[in-house]
Amino acid sequence: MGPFETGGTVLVAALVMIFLRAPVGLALGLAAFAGAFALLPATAAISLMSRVPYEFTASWEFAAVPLFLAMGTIITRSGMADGLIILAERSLRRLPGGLAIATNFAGAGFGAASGSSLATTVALGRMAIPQMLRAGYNPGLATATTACAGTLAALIPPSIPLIVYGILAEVSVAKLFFAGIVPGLLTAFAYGAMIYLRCRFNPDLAPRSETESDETVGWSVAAFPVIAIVILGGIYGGYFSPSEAGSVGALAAIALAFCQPGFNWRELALALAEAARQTAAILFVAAGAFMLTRTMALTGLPNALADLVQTWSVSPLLLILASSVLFLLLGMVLDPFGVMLLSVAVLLPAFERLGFDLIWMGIIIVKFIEIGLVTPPVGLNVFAAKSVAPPEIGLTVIFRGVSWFLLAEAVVMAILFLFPALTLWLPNNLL
Amino acid sequence: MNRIGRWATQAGQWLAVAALVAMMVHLGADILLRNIAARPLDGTLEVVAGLYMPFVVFAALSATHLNREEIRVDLVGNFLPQTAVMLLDRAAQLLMAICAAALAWLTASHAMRAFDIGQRIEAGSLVIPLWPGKAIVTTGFVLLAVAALVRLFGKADNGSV
Repeated sequence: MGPFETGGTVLVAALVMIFLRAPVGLALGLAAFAGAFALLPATAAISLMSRVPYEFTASWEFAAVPLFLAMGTIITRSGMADGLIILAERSLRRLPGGLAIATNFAGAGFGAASGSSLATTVALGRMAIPQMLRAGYNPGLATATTACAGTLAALIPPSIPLIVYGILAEVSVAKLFFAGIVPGLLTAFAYGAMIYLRCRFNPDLAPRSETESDETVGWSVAAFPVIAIVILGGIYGGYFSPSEAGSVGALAAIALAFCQPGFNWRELALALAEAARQTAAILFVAAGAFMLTRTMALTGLPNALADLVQTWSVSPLLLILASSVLFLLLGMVLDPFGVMLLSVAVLLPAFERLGFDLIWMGIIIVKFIEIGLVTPPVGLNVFAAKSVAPPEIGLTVIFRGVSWFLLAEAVVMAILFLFPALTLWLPNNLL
Repeated sequence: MNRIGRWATQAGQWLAVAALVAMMVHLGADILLRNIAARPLDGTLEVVAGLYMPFVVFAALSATHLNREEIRVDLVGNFLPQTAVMLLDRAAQLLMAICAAALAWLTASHAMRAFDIGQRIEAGSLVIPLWPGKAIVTTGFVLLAVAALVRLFGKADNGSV
């Protein structure tokens, strides 16, 4: 069998197992092992695969994952996000769709202190969805805003997907963090503009509220910009690396959380246990994908694909458009990490060969992951929004509401494709 | 086995939390000492990579599995009858138990070898043994196999630890 047949068989086997409800990490690892077993002597294949679990996780760079996840879970459990939503609501409620716009920007702010899209959606949704529904907002708009605002955490640093991409693609995580800022803010503004225009032309979607909220905004709302500035400033100033920044963020989150009413040692222990479990879930998949990357290298498929792209003189634009369609299709049926890790394993050499900047490519891939989080049938953020919405709001209503956000995403993606400098200016000039 | 499995899984989860706290504090102290007193702690990178990280990931792995928090795609679940979904889930648990047990067996030899030859990293004044980090990988896979068996033979409940 040639590289396309062997590599293709391994990939198809992994996808079939994933569709048959096997855990993604298990499916990727098992397919990788079977591939290695077919290509190498049995002892070599066993030795290769049995070394991966320790060698892969015993990583300095991956330390950022549990630490940033801990920061996010502590902030979520402490209720600090509530103040952020109240502040955003007070500033923006007089605009058409003001509460939804406020939720959207609160999502961007919360993303700066949490690397997890799901955590952001749940934290925002618990407070913002009931508030919007009480104000008479369209249920599709209220829930879709929360689901989509949560996706901003995937780009706005610190971002777990960017850390994992950086390590697997062997590019600077610090550069990726800075590269994510402009696309993240651009997406937040595009969402905000779309909500504003929809509600301006169809006021029934979001009746204007004249009553002021009487809830007080605690000082804790300042925590979000402070944590973001400390993390990015520390990395930029060379005081600590992205991995160490996670520890600074988590310790700062603990200190701020204990100043919140109701936060105690038990809550801290539960938040840390949640972060440890999430870390295990993410790195189990990443380890499976790493095994797959090694097997793919043995089959020669990624290089054969890169050769083919070069031989056929495929234009960079065509490659990126074809990949985009692939990412969108895979994002609809696979979990976001699966899409990213498979694309790194198979497509990265072709992108490299055609001279794509891997930092820009990382942002584009994570943007597609973000879109995959809200597209049916596997839209994890939509499920998260559903879990905190009233039970009478069905998934169809949320997915219908999300379709408007996808239009905004199409505009943002076109801008990012046409002007890569928007993404690369900050990392190239600051680092 | 159900009760022992759940207890062991919970113990593993709190061991992971202890490693996470140790990593957080250790890194915080190193950053502080490096930037204020220009005296970084010896071997921080090696301890974080070689000890804390394997403990955080592998000690918590079975709790993730028992809590059904593993990353999985639920696509066919909406289209297949309930019995077929249940059979697929049980097959996935059986496969997971077999693979985890096999990985526990294979990684155990690395841990034992590291212990026998006293494999270690020297970083400044610090000597870091590698066997605990390798042993937790094996332990993590043993616990994962147990968690998969608990789910295989248990009720189709939420199984939280």
